[in-house]
Amino acid sequence: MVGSLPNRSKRKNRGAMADKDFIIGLLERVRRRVRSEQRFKVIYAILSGALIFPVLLKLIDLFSPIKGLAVVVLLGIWAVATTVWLIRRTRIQVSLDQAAENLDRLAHLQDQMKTAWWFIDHPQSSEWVDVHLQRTVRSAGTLKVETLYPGSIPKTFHRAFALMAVFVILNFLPLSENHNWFFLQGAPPFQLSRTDQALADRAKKLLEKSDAAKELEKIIGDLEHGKISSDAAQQQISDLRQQIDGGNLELSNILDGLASIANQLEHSSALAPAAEAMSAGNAAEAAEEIRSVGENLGVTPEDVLREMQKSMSQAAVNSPASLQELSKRMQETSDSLKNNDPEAGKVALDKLAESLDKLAQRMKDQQQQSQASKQLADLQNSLHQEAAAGEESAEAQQSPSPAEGAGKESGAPSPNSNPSAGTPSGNGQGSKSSSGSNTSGSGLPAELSLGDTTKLDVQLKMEGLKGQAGKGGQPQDFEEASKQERSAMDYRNVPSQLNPAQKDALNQNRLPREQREIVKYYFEEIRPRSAGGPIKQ
Amino acid sequence: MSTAIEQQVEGFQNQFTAVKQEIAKVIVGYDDIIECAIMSLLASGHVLLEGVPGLGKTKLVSTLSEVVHLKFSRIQFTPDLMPADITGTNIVREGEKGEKILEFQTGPIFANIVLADEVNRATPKTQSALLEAMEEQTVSVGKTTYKLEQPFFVLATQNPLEMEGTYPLPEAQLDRFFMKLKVEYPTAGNMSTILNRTTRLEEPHVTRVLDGPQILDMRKTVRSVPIARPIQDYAVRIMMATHPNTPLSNALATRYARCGSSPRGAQALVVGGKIRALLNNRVYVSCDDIRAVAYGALRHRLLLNFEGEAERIDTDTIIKGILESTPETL
Repeated sequence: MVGSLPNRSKRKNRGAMADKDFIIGLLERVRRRVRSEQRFKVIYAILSGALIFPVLLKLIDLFSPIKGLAVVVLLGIWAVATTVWLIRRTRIQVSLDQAAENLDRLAHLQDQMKTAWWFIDHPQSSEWVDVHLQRTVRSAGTLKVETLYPGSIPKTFHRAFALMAVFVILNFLPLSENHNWFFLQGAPPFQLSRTDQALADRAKKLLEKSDAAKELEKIIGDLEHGKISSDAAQQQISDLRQQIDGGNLELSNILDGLASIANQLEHSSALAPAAEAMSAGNAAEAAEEIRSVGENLGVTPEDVLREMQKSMSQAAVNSPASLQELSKRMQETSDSLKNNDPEAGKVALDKLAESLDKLAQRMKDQQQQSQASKQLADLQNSLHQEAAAGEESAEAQQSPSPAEGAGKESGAPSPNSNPSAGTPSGNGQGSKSSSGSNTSGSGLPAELSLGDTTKLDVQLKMEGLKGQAGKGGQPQDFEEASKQERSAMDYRNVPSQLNPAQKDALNQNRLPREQREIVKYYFEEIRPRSAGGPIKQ
Repeated sequence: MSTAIEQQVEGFQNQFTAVKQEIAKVIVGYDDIIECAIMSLLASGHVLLEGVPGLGKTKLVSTLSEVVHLKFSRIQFTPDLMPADITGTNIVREGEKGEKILEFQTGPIFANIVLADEVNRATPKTQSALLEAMEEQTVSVGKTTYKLEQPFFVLATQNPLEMEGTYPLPEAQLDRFFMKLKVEYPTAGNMSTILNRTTRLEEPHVTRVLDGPQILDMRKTVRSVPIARPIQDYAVRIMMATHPNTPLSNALATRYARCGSSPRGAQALVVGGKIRALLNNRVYVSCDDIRAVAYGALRHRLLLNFEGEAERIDTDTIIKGILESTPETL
């Protein structure tokens, strides 16, 4: 019987410990559930808020493309900020107190868990507390944590999901100006306008057989990737144009030489058609005419042959240095005709025709380069105008420069255009390029006619406005402060503008009080207006 | 041992229910008033019943005194009532040998249950005669202090202050009441029952179901119920919220209260909460218990300022605001 008391006490302690362990185990489970639930809530709440930024950014990008670097920077900052926010907010610590309170609320336990946990955390030797813990264990045995915390999807999840879906859809919208950020696409640092792009494409197409095309492509690429500025690109295009236009001088010489040769050949009736084609600058047609002459050489009369020989000889002598091969062929033809050797003459004329064909090919290349140069000039001018557009003020637009004010409608060369590129068209239509492309001499029409930005010539004239006389406002007297209230200063200390005689007149006691104002008015009226001072007597 | 506590709790509930049912034989309706009155008895407190005349306040108290086997006395407070009329006084009596003996003649306060009827009709001086008896359970007359028999329970009734010939109870007096209960008009259904019971030849009789020692045991049981610190802190926060211009004060209290509850208010919250917990078969106090007794325990301890009185703010409104705004945990 004596030994049974400690045993009973041990059993009691073991039971109390089991109760506490059971409650703590339950609260631990609840804590994990609450923590994960709160974490999900926080994560989706943050995402539903944070995803608004990239969606808005993408919407802006659709209407005003954002450069790739800016996109990377903005999204990077956003990602870092969101991550930091998530990390900070998801470090949720749920205490067992909070878990117990949460469980009480969900299971309607009327603070049973909270008080039980407090008594476990603050042990007390009380039978009442033990009974309370036993009862709590019985209540907890009926609870199903999985049912109380089913792990439902938070409301904010739907919003976050919808925003994410919108963001994906916006990136994959099949629009020409849309850049898919998932594929690390973004608007280039500098994007050519459609017109500029057309000009560049056309120039590249015209220059496709030359190194200039690659060089142009490199300039455009560097510009779009932000490696060079717009000014540098303009300078490089200008240099490229100078390089291309160097060949145009040769074309001019060829055309002049052909015209000179045509002048000599037109004296021969047989060679007149060929001369006519040469004077028109059409070397290919001239070659055909020469071949035709060669085929008919056997039936050509003697005098015509002599005439041909003479014209060829003179043309060979007078042909410019740039057409040496042509001169040589004409001399060979002349020699053959002089030797009355029709066979050799025909061969020589065929060679002359071949030389003219080669010349025609050279001319065609030169013409393409010339057109390409024109396209580049337009491109350069367009880039300049676009760069200047942002800086031009409305005042500058309204008050034209003296050159424009003089009635020059178009053709004003850009400040950095190449002076050697030729003279402006100046045809007064205002639609031709102002780049001063070398159209003189070639006579070729421009395939793409892009004019300058039309500017309104406004001249402001000063006009004088005549005023209209009216009745005007009525004079109004404003009551002075001194009339509203009594002055704080003693009247004797007020400096007077009256002379002693006036003072005496006012200070005389025999002067009735009501008439003093009249006397004062009298003296004021007789005061000299110009002097403004006291009256001199 | 746990079974003993379970039995103790069960016995408490049975005794409480028995008293309540006996009183309910006479008093129709007012279940919450009856319950709070018994709670105050078991909490070693006193009750102030307020209501217009004729609502059965005195009947309730007299019925309670009949149900419990205790000495009962009634004091009808009138404006000319003197303190000695309550406490008693020394009188000169002639002894057997003809000598003069100064003898203390006990007043009606020397009882277990004292009904102070229409307590606010007496002057504050007379009202204050109850102060010592209510708090220290003693009566001092001259140089002698007499200890009152336990249990000592004062049930005071008062008419609303707006009525003619009433004196407001001093704050110190009010603070000594465990609860202030408002007796409202009975409902139409209850009124019919009242008429049925009171207009016949036979009136309902009650039996005594509780005696003094049992009440003292029940009081011990109440005090044994443990309360966790977070719940106790909640009671403290509620009490502190009644004070104007303190960090925990409620906005309504700041605006309309002149001074808030004394610590006796917090004591009433906790002890009342313990009784309510036992009645709900719980051995711990919850925040719900604190809230349930808050109105009765605090409404007379919250004194309105001029603005509150001018706007006729009911202290229950302030307490409601406090209960709604005070968090259970910080």
